[in-house]
Amino acid sequence: MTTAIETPAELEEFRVKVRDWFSSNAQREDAQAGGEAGEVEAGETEDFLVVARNFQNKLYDSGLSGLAWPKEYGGQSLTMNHQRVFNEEASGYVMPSTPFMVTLGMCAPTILQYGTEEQRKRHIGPMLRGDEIWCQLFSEPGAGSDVAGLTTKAVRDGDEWVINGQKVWTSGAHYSNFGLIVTRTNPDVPKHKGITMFIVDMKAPGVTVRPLRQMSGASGFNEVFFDNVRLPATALVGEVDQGWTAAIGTLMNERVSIGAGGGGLGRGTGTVQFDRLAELATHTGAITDPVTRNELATIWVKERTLAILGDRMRASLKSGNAPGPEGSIAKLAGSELGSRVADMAMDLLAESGQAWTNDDEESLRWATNLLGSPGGAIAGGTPEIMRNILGERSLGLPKEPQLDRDMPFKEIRAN
Amino acid sequence: MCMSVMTQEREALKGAVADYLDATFPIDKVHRIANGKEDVSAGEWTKAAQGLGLAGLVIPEEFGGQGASLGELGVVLQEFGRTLAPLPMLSSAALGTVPFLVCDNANVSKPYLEALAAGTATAALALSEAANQWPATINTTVATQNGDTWTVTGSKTFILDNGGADFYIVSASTPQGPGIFVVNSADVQRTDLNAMDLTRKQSSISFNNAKATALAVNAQSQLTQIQNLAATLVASEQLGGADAILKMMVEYAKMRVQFGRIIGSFQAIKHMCANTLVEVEQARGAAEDAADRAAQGEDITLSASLAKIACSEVFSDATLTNIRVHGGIGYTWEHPAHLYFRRARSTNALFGSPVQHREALLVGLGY
Repeated sequence: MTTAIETPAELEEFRVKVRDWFSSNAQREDAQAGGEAGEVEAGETEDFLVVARNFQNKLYDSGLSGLAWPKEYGGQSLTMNHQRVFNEEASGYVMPSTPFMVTLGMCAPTILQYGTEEQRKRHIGPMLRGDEIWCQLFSEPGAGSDVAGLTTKAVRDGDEWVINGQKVWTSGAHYSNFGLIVTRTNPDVPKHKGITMFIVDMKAPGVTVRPLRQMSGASGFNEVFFDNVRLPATALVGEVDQGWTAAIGTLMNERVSIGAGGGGLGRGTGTVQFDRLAELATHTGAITDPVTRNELATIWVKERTLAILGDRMRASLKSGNAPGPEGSIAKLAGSELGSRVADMAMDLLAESGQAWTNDDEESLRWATNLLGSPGGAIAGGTPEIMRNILGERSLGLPKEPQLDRDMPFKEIRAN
Repeated sequence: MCMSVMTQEREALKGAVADYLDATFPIDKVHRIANGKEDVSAGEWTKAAQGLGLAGLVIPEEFGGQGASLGELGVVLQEFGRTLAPLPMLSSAALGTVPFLVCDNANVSKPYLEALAAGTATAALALSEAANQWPATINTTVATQNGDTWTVTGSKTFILDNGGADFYIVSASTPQGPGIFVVNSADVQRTDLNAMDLTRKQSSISFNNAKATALAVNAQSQLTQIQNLAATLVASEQLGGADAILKMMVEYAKMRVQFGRIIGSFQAIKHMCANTLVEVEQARGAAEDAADRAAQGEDITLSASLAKIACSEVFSDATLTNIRVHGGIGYTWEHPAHLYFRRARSTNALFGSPVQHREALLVGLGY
C-alpha cells in the first residue's frame, strides 16, 4: 500500500500549493446558498455546467487534476498521499464536480484499463481537464438489474459498426460529448458472451437524447435512442463480444464513486450532513432531546465510517488495484446514510418539511433531498443487487439457480 | 475479503500470532476451558511473552519490550478476539500496560514494565466503581499521602483480570485532583463476578489503606486518554471477533443443504451474510483508523468513540445473525456460537456502551 515516493517536505509544499489555490479560486461551502444537501439536483443547468467546466479547467491548468493518474495521459503521476492532502485541503470548499463524476469516476478508469493506447492518448487528458464530459450507456428499458440482458444491437458493416436501440437512466447524456455504450453483437451465445463496448460521439447523426423527469421534479437523466448510428472501427473498446468484463469494471468504479462520493475527484473527509442536521436541530431546539441526540450521533458515526471506507478504497484503487466488489459496500452504506439523513431532517422540520413559504430555503432543500433519496439507492444497482454481488463475489456464496445463464441469448424470455 | 491497509511487518506479526493461537487455542479447547474441564497450562503466558514478545508488545525496548506501536497492538488484539484465547492479552498487555505508557513516569514504572514484558507478572485496569458510568467516575476511592508514600481506600469493579492480576491500576481522588495508582494484589480483597462471557473472568476488588505507588496525580488528562485508549483497544478485539463470526456463518451457509440447495444460495441467507460484511468492513476502517491515530499521538476522543460504537454494534449484530444462519444447532451449548455472542454482549457494555459513546461524541463535537 505504501507506494509513497514523496518526502514529507514535498508533501508539505504540495499542501501549501493546494491551500493557496483553493483560497484564491474556490468558494467556502457555508458561503453558498443551497449546498450539498441539495446536490442530488445540482449539475443540471447550463450555468452550473459552465461553472463546473471553468473550475475543472483551472484545476487542471494548475496541475491539480488527475493527481494519481499517469503523466503520459495528462495526469500528474503523484501519489495517494498527494490525493489525501488535496482532499483534506479541499474539505470545506465548494467543488462543482457533479458533471464530471461519471466521466472521471467511471468512464476514464475504463478507458485507462480497457481502451487502446490511441483512445487513452486522445481522451483521458481532455477528461481530466473538463473539456470532455462522458456518460455511460448501459441500462435499457428491458435491462435494469439484469444489465446483461441488453438488446441494443451493434452490427458490423465493412469497417464500421451500426448501432440501433435504446438506453435509459443515462445521467448527463444531454450535456455529454461522448458515451461508453454496451451493445449486443452476438445473440446466438449466452447473454454475457455476446456483448461489445464502444465509444459513441453523442453528437453523431442518429443519436437522440430525451430528458426524463424524476420524482423529485428534476431532470438529471435521459433516455437515449440510437437509430442507425455509425461508429468507426476505432470506437471499439476491448475485444468484440468481450464487453461484459469491461462493463463490470465500469460498474464497480461506479459503486465506489456513488458510495464514497466524488469519484475520481475524491472527497469525503468531512461530516457535512451531520453538521447541517446538528445546526437544524440546534435551530429547532431538538438538540437537547435524547432521541434526537442518539440519532444525530449515529449519523455522525455512519458518515465518518463511510468517509474512512472511501479513503481506504481510493487508496487501494490508486495504488493500482482494480476495483473489487468493495464498491458495493460503499454504495449500500452510502444510500442507507442518505435515507437516514433525509428522514432525520424531516423529523426535525416536522410540518415545515411538507409545506413551506417562499423564503424558507432550508425546508425546500431538505424536501428536495428527501425526494432524491430513493434514486440514490437505485442508481448503480439496487441494494438487493449489491447484497447479491457481495454475497457471491466477496463471500463466495453460490448464486440462485439461473434459468438463462447458458442459454443462447435469443431464446431467453424477455419483457 | 479484507480491505485492511497493512504494512508487510504488520502482516507478518498478524500471521505469527494467528499461527500460535490456532495451534495453542483451537476453539474446542477454548470451549473446554470455558466449561472448567481444562485449564490454561501454567506458564503459557510467560511462554507467549518470551517466544512472540506479546506481553511486552508496546513496552519500550529499554524495559525489555518490543517497542511496537498501538497499531500493531490493535492487529494482535484482533487475533485474540478471533480465537477467544484465554490469555491476558487485552487485560494485561493492553489495558494493564497502556496506563504506564500514558503516565510516562519511567522511574516509577520501570520495575512494573520489566515484569510485565517478561510475562512474569500481569496487571489489570480497575477504573469503574459502579455500573453505567462512562467515562468512569471516581465516586468513593481516595488516596492519601504520608510523606513519600501513598495509601488508597475504596473499591473497583467490572475488572478484566483474567482470574487475578498481580497489580491493579486504580484511579483515586487526591487533594490535587484525580490520581492513578498501582496496588499489589496482596493488598486487595478480590471477588469473582459471575461473568456472562465464559472465556474471560471479571472481578471486583476492595482495599483499605492499601500501599500504593503513584503513577500520576492531578491526572485528569491522562485518565481521559487511558479510557479513550481502552475503548479503542477493546474495539480492535471486537473487530477480530466479528470477523471470525462472519467467516463462521459464511462457511455454514456454503455447507448446509435444505430444500435441495446450499442455503447460502437463498437470497434471504446471502443478504444476512452480505449485511454483516458491510458492517465488518466499516468497523475495520473505524478500528484501524483509531488505533493508527492513537499511535501517531493524535487526540482520539472522537475516533475512540467511533471505533467502540462501530465494533460493538457489528459484533453484537453478527453474533446474533450467525445463530440465525445456523438455526437450532447454533443455539446449543456445544456450539461455539454462544461463546462469541457472550463476548460481544460483555464488551458491548464495557468501556462505554454505544449509547454512552454516542452521547460522548455529541458532547465532544460541541453539542
